[in-house]
Amino acid sequence: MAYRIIATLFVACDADIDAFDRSPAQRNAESIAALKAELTAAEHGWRVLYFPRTDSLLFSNPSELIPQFGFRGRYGYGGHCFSMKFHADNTLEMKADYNASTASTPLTSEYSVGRNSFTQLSFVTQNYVHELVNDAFRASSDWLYMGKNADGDLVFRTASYLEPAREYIVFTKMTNEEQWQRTTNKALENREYFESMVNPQLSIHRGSRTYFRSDIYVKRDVETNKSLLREIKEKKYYLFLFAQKKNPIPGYPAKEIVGLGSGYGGTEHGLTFRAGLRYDSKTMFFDFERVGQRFRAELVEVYDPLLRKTRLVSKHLHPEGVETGLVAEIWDEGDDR
Amino acid sequence: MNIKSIICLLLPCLMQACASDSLNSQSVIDAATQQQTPTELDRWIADSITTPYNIEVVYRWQKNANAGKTFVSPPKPQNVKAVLRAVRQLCFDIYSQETFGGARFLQGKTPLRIYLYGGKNVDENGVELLNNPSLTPSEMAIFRVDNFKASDVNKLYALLRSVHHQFARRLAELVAYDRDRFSRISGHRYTGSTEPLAAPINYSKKEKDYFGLADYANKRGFYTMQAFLSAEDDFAEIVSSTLCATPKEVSDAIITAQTPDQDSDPEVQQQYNKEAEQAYKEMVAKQEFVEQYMQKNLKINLKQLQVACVRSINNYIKQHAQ
Repeated sequence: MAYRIIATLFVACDADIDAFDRSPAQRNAESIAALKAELTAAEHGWRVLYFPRTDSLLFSNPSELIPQFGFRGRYGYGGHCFSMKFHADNTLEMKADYNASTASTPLTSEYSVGRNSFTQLSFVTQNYVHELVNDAFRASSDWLYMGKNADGDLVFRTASYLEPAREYIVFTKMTNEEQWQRTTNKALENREYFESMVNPQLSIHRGSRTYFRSDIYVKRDVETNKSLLREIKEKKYYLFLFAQKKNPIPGYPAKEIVGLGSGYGGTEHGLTFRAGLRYDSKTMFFDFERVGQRFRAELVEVYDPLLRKTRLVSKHLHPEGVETGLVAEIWDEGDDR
Repeated sequence: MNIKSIICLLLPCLMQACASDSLNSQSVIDAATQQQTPTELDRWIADSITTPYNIEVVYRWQKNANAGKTFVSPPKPQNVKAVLRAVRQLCFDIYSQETFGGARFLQGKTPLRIYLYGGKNVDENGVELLNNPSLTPSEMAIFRVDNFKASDVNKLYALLRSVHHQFARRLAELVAYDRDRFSRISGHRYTGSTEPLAAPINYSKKEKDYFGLADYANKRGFYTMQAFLSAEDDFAEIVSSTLCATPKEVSDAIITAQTPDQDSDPEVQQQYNKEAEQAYKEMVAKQEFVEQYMQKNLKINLKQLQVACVRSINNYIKQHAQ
């Protein structure tokens, strides 16, 4: 024992050994500067998808029965597509896909990059994104930088939730001026096209085998259904329903209903669903491409060398991927009655 | 030789060991470099609000400044000046008139900081509040900056009710009143939460009805709905709602308190009469208490201040109507 104490006494003042070669303040400043450099490096700006209130457990089990009155008023929330251009003087230009004017008129405001427990991007003066800060969408003005995903996009989250998959904030770099000009307009156009569908239905299939196909006319435009139509539009959430057991009385609500739902938002290609149309733990559809009058998502397998895992993504985002044949399609069935 | 003696022998070595260490040349303290370059608005605030009134104005988003349970966002910078001008002219400058506090009245009494927010301050029960209850009275929070319009009676009313409310709290913090005596008057009525208020208050759509003198409150001995929350709120609400209402509106509110509801059942009617009598008693007692406090402790006549405030509000609206 005594020898040990003596031994420690002798090494006590050896050279300065630090776990880090820089002070915490320096490391803070470096991470702030790095994120700012990353953001301002995109000269044509970023396409930002922001879903502030997602729920991956809501209407995500296609074999679970949904009670007749179990979905009205319980829809989740969707999101929006923004274009953002960050400048070195801590200002940014922003466009949003709320309506035609916000999609084409950039609004300039200030941002700041700071650091608490994470490097944090804050929108410090008012801009389009703050329209989602309300008791419905519960958006936040401070986004915490989490790093890059497998596609090299910047991923953020907020301090509002501890659980994973409660929000979705991803920055994708835009590569040319045309994208800066058109992205939010196209996103708005695609979203409005989906919203204008009278009776959208979803089918998930591989070849001739159908895994899921919705058939209930959810958007029926009658007085008693007005509140649901309003809910879909305000919350930007869609639930595709299938009558597992039909009612023998024609025109009456089905006896057993199942369904798949997700918040939606427009993108330049078509639609994006977050937390996704989740058929099962592997088969999940997020990004849909608009093909004529339909929205289509075909899953392909992509290998991620960093995580050493294969993942399923939409073909239009990764044309090089290995085909799986899994396809989800959304089309307008029309008012058949 | 035991351990103690070894340590005693080596102790002098320990003391010298680190003497030659030099301090690290790099500071561990954040340099806190300002990221935003001051804008024209920042300079205007510095010249017109910070220097003369000693108030820091925060209109850029600071997450930690808002610890409340409401969803608020930063304001549109283009509206900030208009709001601050109205606050300066219709609250601070009136208090510092010769007839009232005098030129030196505001020294040390203005709030230290004003936070500005774009939207409404709606709490978890759906009730819009005039202040941020998690702040101390030395900090003032102003909401609804985005849709402020100096020529709109309702928007100006909502702003001034909030500002006078918070400034009354600030004054009561610096120049104390007898809290025990005041809270005894309506002690049994305070709710402490907005939950029971949500239903009756949400009938009102216009700002003047929402924040104004309300029948529901008058019949229970209060001036306004927000006064139900606590004795401190009640006190600030009496000052604030008085300063934003004409003397006739206040006396009408007292008449409302005095007038019992009508019922054909004599027993119920008797109960109503009793309630009205009690409400009237409480309301008048509180009014007198606040007037006395203003007169004795601040040397300001509340009724005269009310007339001055209402006149300036009306003039202000006229000026900005063109």
